[in-house]
Amino acid sequence: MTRMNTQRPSAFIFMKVGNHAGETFDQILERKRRELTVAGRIFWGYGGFSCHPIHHVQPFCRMHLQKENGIYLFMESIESHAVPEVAQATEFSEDGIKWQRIPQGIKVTGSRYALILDEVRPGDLDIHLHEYVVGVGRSRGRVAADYLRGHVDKGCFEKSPEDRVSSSDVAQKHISYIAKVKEPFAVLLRGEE
Amino acid sequence: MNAARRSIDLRESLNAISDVVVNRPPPIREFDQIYMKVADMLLQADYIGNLFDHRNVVFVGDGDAIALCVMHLHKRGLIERGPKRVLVLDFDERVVNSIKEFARQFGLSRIVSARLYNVAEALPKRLWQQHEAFYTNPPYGSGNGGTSVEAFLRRAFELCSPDALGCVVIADSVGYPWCAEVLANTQRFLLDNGFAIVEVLHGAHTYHLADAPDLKSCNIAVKSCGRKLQSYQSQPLDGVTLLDFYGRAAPLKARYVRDLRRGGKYPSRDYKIEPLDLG
Repeated sequence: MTRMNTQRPSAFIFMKVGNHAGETFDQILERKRRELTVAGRIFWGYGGFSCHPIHHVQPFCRMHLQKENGIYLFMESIESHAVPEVAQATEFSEDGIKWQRIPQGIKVTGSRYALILDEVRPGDLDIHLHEYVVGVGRSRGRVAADYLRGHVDKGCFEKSPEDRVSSSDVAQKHISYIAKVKEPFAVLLRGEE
Repeated sequence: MNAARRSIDLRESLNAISDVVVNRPPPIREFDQIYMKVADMLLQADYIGNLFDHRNVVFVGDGDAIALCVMHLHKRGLIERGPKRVLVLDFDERVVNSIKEFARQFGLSRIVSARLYNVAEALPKRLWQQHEAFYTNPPYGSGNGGTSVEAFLRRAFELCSPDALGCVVIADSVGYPWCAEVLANTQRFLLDNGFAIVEVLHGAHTYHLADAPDLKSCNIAVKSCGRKLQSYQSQPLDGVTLLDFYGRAAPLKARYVRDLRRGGKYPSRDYKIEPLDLG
């Protein structure tokens, strides 16, 4: 597995990652690598309200895909003690209208949504969130560093049109893992009735 | 004007709003259904009751259930003024059925009606210019400059007689730069279509909106100015408007949301009951 040292991009999706649904992050990564081998893509489960597949992630990726060489998920590794429900998704949908079975070999648990990813690689990149703004949705234009306060831990960010300089270390994030987002970028999930 | 009116019975009024709130179906985030907070619903019902007193009002979409609030409060004597009759048009059958069921339960069926309609489609001919006022709280158009607001307004204009009043609710927060653009475009659209703006009530409502909890909306009250009776000419929305309906590159794809519970007549599928096993 190669380590990726990416140039600072003009647009990316940011998430904090850690242990989840009873698995350590290393266990999750190992399982996701197997899934990529079997199914050719990874379903990266997540929740919350700031990266809705239809209202945020899909439009954001479509808008930036033409100017970027792919949209990447930047992951900041954190200590997580969250123990969510481990309900397993059985179906996914791009638009909430047509639903399909989760592909054979893919397991996604405890999540309402999933990003569709290529290989997850170790990264080594520092991102200064004062230089970026929210790129989509009602909070479009808000400085990423301000947006990621409180309970918000993910977002779709693009380079700020204004030059911003800040000496604050709080807004600097070390990116430990990187993955390219694949079509259809993000999907809704649901389980058995 | 307000000083001359009697004060509101807060407990009875909030309990009446509570009747409406428990009757609403859960909002579907995929379709941007985001509900107004309860205190704001009460104040909004009072405002709309005054604005549309004795009028035949059409609501172009009403997930919040403001139509039910104003009619329920007015019928119970909790607000002095209210519309003569309301019709709610919504693409969500759960909303339509819940309104009908509430109206039946509270004796409002003669003055409250609801029917399934998606603004993407041409207006049914028999609704053309049949109403004396409109109310709409459309998708705010954060990523489309307000074209989704215009889509709802276009139908509202088609539904209303030449001397109509109206109220449009749109986003209104200084901290969100796109609000000013949508506000300016909406005001221009209203004026271009023969509606004068008679009042803007800033920061009037807040919402259960997790990704922008401080986002507020305003009431823009309008009055028809020089509009004339026209023959029927409603058209479906064009593809470009549909493409960015919920924001940039976030298209409207659904025609209707169908109600699998028939307005609460069938049990919820959200849960199942496990039997008690005493061995």
